[in-house]
Amino acid sequence: MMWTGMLALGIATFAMLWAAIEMVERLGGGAS
Amino acid sequence: MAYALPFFLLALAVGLSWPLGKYLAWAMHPGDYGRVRDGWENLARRLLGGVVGEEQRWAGYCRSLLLFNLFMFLLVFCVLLLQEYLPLNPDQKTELEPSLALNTAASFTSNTNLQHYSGEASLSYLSQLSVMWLQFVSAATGIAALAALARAMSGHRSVGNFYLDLWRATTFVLLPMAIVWAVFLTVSGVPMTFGGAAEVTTLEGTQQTIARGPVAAFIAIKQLGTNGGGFYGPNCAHPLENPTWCTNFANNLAILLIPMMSVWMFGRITGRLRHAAVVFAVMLILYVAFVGLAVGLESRPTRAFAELPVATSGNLEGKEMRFGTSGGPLWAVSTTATSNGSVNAMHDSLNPLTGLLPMAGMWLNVIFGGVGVGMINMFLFIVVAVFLAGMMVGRTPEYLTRKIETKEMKLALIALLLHPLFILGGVAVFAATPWGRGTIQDSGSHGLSEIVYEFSSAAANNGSGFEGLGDNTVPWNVATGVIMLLARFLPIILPMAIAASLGAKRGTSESPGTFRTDSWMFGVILLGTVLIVGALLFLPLAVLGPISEHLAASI
Repeated sequence: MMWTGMLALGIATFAMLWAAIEMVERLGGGAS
Repeated sequence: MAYALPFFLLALAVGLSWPLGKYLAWAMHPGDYGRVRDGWENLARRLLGGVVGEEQRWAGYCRSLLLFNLFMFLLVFCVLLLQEYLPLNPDQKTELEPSLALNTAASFTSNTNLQHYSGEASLSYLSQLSVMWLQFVSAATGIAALAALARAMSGHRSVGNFYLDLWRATTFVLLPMAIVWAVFLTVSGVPMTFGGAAEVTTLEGTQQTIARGPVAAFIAIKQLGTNGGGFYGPNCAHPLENPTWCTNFANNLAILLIPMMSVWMFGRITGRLRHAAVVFAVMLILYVAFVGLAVGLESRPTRAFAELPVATSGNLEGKEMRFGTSGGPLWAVSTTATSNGSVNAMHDSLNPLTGLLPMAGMWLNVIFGGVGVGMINMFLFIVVAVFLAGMMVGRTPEYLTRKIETKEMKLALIALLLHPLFILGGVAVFAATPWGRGTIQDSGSHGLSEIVYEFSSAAANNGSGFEGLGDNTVPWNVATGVIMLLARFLPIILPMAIAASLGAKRGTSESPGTFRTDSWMFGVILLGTVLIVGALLFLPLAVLGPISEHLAASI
């Protein structure tokens, strides 16, 4: 079932990127 | 004579980039509609529904961008795993190993096209077509991101709609250009068929299987979209991908064109064409310097040949003679400066110092760079250069009349440091463990260069390979797969936040004391910033790899 692990890894990477947007918003990026 | 090809190529690329850049700006800028344009966008609204209707702010735009790319990643991952059971598989290709499927899906989603497999041996036609589809939409994602960033810098709170921008970039720009290039390649002898492999009898009377497919269509978008993934394993060194001197010239032109057009688009959307011209000039100076060095260094024979009593005309190892002596080094610089990644010569066979230039192109990643994203990367250096110039003259730094403050600088520096972190961190782990050491072909500094090149290629979303590396292993597939995705989207998200932050500020009026970003002085500071930051981050790696190899061979 290695393919499920690889699939999960790919989705987790996108989740990290999604979290990065939230984090940048919290840091105040994008707004004055 | 060796410099004639680079000169004509560059003159044509720069000349064409101006009118085509105007067209790109018209295609992406929402304020300049015509009747045909309106009808085409209404078709998008009918086909795609409500998602193209709403205007988005930077975070919403980035979320849509991520969601779309996640969907594409999942789709291609499934096709690669299930290709054995899907149609368009006349040569009965079996499924890809899961970590290779992850790497390949991540690679094409991120516009990298790093390939740890040979396309003609491993992929069905459906798989080739699905990754070809990604070559369109990943390139369109880059153009869309730059258009949104430019709108944000113009002071718009709404930066556009991602899906509508994707539609514009794909249908107005990439598709028409790819059709023109594909027709030219087909006429020039590149295969374009779904008929499966050809069985032929050779002159010796033996049977030979020649892999074919929709190669011309694949090659056209791979060059125009700075994708670079080959239909065949040897990429554009293969005679069916790149058969003649003319196809080589046209492909090299295609590599440069849209990255150059992107700079002009940025200038037009922000209304700062003079500033764009300065940025374009900085990129051009770096490109000319790299090409000049590469062609010059590669005109010398390798050490092995230098000691033989024979006449040589430069380093011919790993080159295709049909492209001429400068065809290889010129392409090597173009493909790594622009984050394309296709190759027409083996980079592993370049003289050591020539081999440093493709790596340096990927380390800087701003010499025109990828479609759209090259200018986004340069935007980060611009912010740093403006900040440094502001500090030097004792004024609050301003970019396009907006004040750069601590918040923007923090985000810019995080974004700039991610690139070396991915490369240096990866190299450190793989050079110290059997994951990397067990896969290199050569020992010493050349072996280190093989590892450095692979991580540089993944982090720069380039996709070319130094070769000489057994990279189809689970650790390589997983490490470069994750790095490609992070290195693709974080350098879009962070600059977008910076641009939105700057754009939301009230613009200050320019005074005689304002440091102008459309002056030659700014060009010098920007060039210095790129070179100094690049050297500070990567010089130790260059010394341990190619420079050390060169010195060892010279002593």
